[in-house]
Amino acid sequence: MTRSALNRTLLAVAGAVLLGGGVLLLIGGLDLDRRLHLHLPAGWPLTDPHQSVLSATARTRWTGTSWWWPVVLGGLTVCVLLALWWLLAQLGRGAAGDLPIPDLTGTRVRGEALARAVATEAGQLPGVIRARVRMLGNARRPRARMVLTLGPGTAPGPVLAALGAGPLARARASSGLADLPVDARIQVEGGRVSRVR
Amino acid sequence: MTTAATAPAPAAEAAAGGARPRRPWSSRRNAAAATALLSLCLAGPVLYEEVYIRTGHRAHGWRIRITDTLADHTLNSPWVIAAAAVGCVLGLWLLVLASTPGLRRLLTMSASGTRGVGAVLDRRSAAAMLHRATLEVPGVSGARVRVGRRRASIRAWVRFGAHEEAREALVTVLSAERERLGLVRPPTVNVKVRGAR
Repeated sequence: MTRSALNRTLLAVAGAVLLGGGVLLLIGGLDLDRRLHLHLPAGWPLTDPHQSVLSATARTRWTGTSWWWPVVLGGLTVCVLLALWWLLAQLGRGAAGDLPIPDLTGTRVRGEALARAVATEAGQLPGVIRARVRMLGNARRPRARMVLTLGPGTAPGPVLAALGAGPLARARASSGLADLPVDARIQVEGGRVSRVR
Repeated sequence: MTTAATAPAPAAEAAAGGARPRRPWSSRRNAAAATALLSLCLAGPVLYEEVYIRTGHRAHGWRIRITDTLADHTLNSPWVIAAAAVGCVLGLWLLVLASTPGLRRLLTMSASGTRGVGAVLDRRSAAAMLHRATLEVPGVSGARVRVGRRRASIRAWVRFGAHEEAREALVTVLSAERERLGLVRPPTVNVKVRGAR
C-alpha cells in the first residue's frame, strides 16, 4: 500500500467518524427524528433534545461488566498506536542510498552520484537553466524526482523528450535500472520580453 | 470596446500509442500528519487517565471537568449543536481530501516517447509562457493572464491597430503557444481585447 493510499484510507475513516458523530448529535439536538419523521430504529441513541450529551449513568452503565475495561483500554491503546504509527509514516522517505546494479551482482551505485550525473546532463540541455535531481525510495524500488527550470519562452515538451532520450536513457542504461520511474516537475521562468517599437 | 474569442481545445489525443499519462495524486501528507497528531493528542491523555483510574487513583481535575460538562449540557444546547455542525463540516472536508487528487497547481504533461516519466507543469509557468506570447503580438501593450485547470483567460490591452485584427492575431499566437506547453489537455484559450489604459 502506498503512502497516498494509506493516508487517504485513514483520512476517509477519520472523516466518516467525525461526520457520523456530528450527524448523530445534530439529529438529537435539533429533534430531527420527530420533525422530519425519520422513523429511526428503536434502539437509536440520542433522540431526546433534553437529554445530556453523556450523563453519569450512561457513562458508568457498563463499568460493572467484565468486558468493559479490556474493551476501553484495548480500543484506546489501538487508537494511540495507530495514530503514532500513522504520524511516523509521514516522515520523509529519504534518499535511496546505494542502488544495486542488476547486471553486475555485488556492484552498487550511490543514488546521489546517479542523481548528480542526471542533473549535470539535464542542466546542459538547450533551454534548461537549472536541474535538481534526487533519488528517493529505497534500494529495491528507487524513484527519481527532478525539478527542471527552463528559460523564458522555452517549450517544455521538446525539453522533456530530450531529457528522456538523453540523460535519462543514459542513466537507465548505465545503472541497469531500466524501469527507473521519474517524476519531473517543470517550471518556466517569465523573463522580460523584447518589444518591437 | 471589448472583443472576446474562444479557441476550443483540440480533441483529446487518440488512445493509440500507449496509456495516457495519469494526473498525479497528492499523498495528502500534511492533512494526514495533522489528523494523526490530533488523534494522538486526544487519545493519549484519555488512555493515560483510564489506566490511572483503573490502577486505583482518583480522577484528575480535567477529567472531572470534562465529564461534568458533558453531563450538564443537553443535546439542544447551542454549544453542542455548534460542535456537532463543526464536526460534520470537518468530517466532510476530510472525506473530500481523501477522495480528490489535489495538486491543482500542477498540469499533467504528455510525456510521449519517454517511458516511466510522469511530468507536470505548474500553472504559473503556463501563465508566464502565455503572457510572454501575448506581449509578442504587435500592438499589445500589456496583458493579464490567468490559467485554470481547463481554461486560460487572457485579457490584452492594445495600444494601436484594430482590435479585431489584434484579437485574431492573439488567438493564432496563443493557440500555437498552447500546444507548445506540451500538456495532456491543453487549456481552452479565452481572449479579451481592450483599448490601452
